[in-house]
Amino acid sequence: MSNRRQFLKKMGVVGGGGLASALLADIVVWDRIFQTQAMALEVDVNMNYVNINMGGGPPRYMADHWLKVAASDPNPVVSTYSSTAYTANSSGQVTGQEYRTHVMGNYVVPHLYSTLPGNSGASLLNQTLIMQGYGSGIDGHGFNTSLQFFPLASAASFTGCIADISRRPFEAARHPDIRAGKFVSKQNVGLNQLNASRPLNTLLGTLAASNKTRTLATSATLKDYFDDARGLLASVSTDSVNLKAAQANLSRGYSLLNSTLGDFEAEWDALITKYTTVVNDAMRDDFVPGLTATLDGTKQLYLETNDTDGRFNTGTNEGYLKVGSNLIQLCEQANNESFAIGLALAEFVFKYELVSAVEINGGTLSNLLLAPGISSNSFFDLGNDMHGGGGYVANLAMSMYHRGIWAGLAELRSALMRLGIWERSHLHLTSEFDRKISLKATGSGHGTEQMVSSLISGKISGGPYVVGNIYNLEPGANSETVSQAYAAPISGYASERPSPTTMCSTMSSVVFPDLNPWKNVAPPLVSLNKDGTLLLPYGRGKVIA
Amino acid sequence: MKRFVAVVLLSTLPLTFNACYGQPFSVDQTLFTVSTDLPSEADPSSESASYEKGVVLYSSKNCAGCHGSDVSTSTKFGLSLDRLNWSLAPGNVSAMSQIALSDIEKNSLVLALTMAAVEKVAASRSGRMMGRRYLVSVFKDVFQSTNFKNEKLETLIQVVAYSPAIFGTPCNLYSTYSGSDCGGEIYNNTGSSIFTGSTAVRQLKQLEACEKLTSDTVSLNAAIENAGGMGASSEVLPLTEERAMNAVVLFDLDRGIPDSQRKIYSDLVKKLNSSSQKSVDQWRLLIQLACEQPGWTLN
Repeated sequence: MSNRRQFLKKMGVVGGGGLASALLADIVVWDRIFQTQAMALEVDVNMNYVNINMGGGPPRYMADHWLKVAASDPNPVVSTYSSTAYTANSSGQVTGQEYRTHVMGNYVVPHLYSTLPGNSGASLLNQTLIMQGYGSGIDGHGFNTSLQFFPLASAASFTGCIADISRRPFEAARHPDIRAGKFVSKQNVGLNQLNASRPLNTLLGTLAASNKTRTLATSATLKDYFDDARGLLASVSTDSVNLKAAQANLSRGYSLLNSTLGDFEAEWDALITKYTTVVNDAMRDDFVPGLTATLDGTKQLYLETNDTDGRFNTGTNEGYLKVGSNLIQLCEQANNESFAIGLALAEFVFKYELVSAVEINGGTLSNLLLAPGISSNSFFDLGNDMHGGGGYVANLAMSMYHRGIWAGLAELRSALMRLGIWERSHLHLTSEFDRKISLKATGSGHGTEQMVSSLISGKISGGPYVVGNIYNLEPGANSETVSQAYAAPISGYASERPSPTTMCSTMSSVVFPDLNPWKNVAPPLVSLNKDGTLLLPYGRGKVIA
Repeated sequence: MKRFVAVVLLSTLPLTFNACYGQPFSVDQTLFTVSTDLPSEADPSSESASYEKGVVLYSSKNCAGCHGSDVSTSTKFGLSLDRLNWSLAPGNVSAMSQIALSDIEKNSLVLALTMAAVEKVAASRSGRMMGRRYLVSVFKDVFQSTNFKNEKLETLIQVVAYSPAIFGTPCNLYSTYSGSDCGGEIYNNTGSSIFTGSTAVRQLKQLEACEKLTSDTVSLNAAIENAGGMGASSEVLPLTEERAMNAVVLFDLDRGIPDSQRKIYSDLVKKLNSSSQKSVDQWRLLIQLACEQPGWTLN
């Protein structure tokens, strides 16, 4: 209720003498419009959902793609692209890489989660469901994004399903661009595409004092005439679903005009500062045990670059880290601006119940410390779509990237908890595909048969949960076909090998279980118990020899 | 067999639906894939279950009492068999626990409500909104005078003209680089298509443009002139019902004004005429109202 009060306060209806008639009329209109869907579907129409899509297909083995799920699984044979930590001698000099883990409940958890601020790693994983071991087997960055957003033509997209039951002013929004991120609604809901650097300017800019001309408002009589007429026009019966939707959107627009939501600048700036700091601090930390420092945290690691491990391609310009520089300092000026903006956007729109489903960018790792004249602004720069470049560089860069991602998500979770709305919030991580463990030249190939998706949800407890099987195979030296994390069959499962449809079906079992439009095609791998624990009808994910 | 049942029922659906303004449209073939999947939960042994039986049952079992007058408007559209069984089970939904339904009747109800869902899906995809260039062209028709140049017009409508991701119609990349088509923001091109759906942001931006235009004296006078409201000496003539309709129809020359809306505008003019408001302010109100309506932006 606290956020509802905050919303009403912003709408200017708390503490006053009561609702203005026009505003009340609009709220009634909204309720009438969306009541039907809410009653029909019996799902949480007031949920908060964020899709964090990591464009470019970054490796995820150091984070949420687990090559060893439980102690009984065989030890993985890892490559430089799937290691989770560095090994070092007593003086802090890096001697190699390893698949370092720690135990959490019945699971073996990658090292990264023990390095997150406070106890946030364990807290997040307690509410996390990971699905791995699914794929399309068909190449293409955009194609595989599209498949995971919109796996079945006959249903809405994942975000579209939520938008279709939303009763908020802006049902769904995207910031700013997700390549081939297909949004499909079955209820005529549109996606609000937002500005890259100032997304609230798109969403609420019209409400800013500088843009609210409202010449009519200078005369109370004219304003009354106007409101009466526009209310009557909005209530004219029509067979056109499109016109109904547009009229409803216009009614919401009028209501928002009465609010103070256009005065977002100060709050927005504070949110940006907060998330930028959290994400950057996590990525830039050059004293992370096992990654940039010794395990006891007493010494910074050092690894002098050479032509192999420090190799670094930047698109068509092949370059290297500065010879003799310390690779461990690679990220100490890194940033992920797009992700920080996305997190700030999510907190703001959920706080004021403006948007139900937000698609944001996981962003990338920019401003790495490279040799003079070499820049890095995307994963493509990490060695020609990561097909080149050294594994040591990629491993550290991606570890720090994922530290930023999970630290940022931990902060968003905390913020939503403080607002009292975490219990109905869901943070969904997707990417085009994971990378192959087997090396392609000096880099990694597209893991289109080894995708992974994670859901951190206020509804889940007792995690982590991992579903979906993977093979434990020897990584190929220069192969596109052999890789450990290749999707493996699930015994008793309808189609044996899970697909992106299975992923959407599985995640929807937590987010909108009564609505799951994919369950007949791809049965979910989990079901949600009332206490927040998950039932795994096909068992936990495992590694198959 | 269950797929067979579904296909047979689908074949009874009309192949065309009435879109807005009565223009028929074809149903996307994809929709038929939907419908064959949706009823798949139905009991395969219930070969005599039917859409028609479901429609009758919906009425005879008084489903309408709680869930809407008929299957096409029911709040339970798209109901699954699992969900129906759960609702009928003792202890779950008190109002339904006394209702006895055979398997055939349950399947009939599910099919009827599923078909209704399919029809709604079809209807919801029956058309889209006009792209930004169309809106810009209408703004230029309405707010540009034949007698004097409206120097600020381009600036006043930028909120629409520079927002392809919201209003549709991608950037002209050749002019984008000079910043004259999408305001130089390439991101705006992302996700834009020839057509888009309506969103609250879109309606807000349209509203913002209309407010700016009607608050600008030159633009407002141009619109008044185009509606026949400007005298020989460039004086603003009183707002009459005929002139008001001229103004409204400026935004939608092809489709005119539906009778239901004509009466609303007519009553508004009467109220305005009986008030002490200045003519120009009466005109402003009317034009702003017509400008902000979404109807004229429908494809």
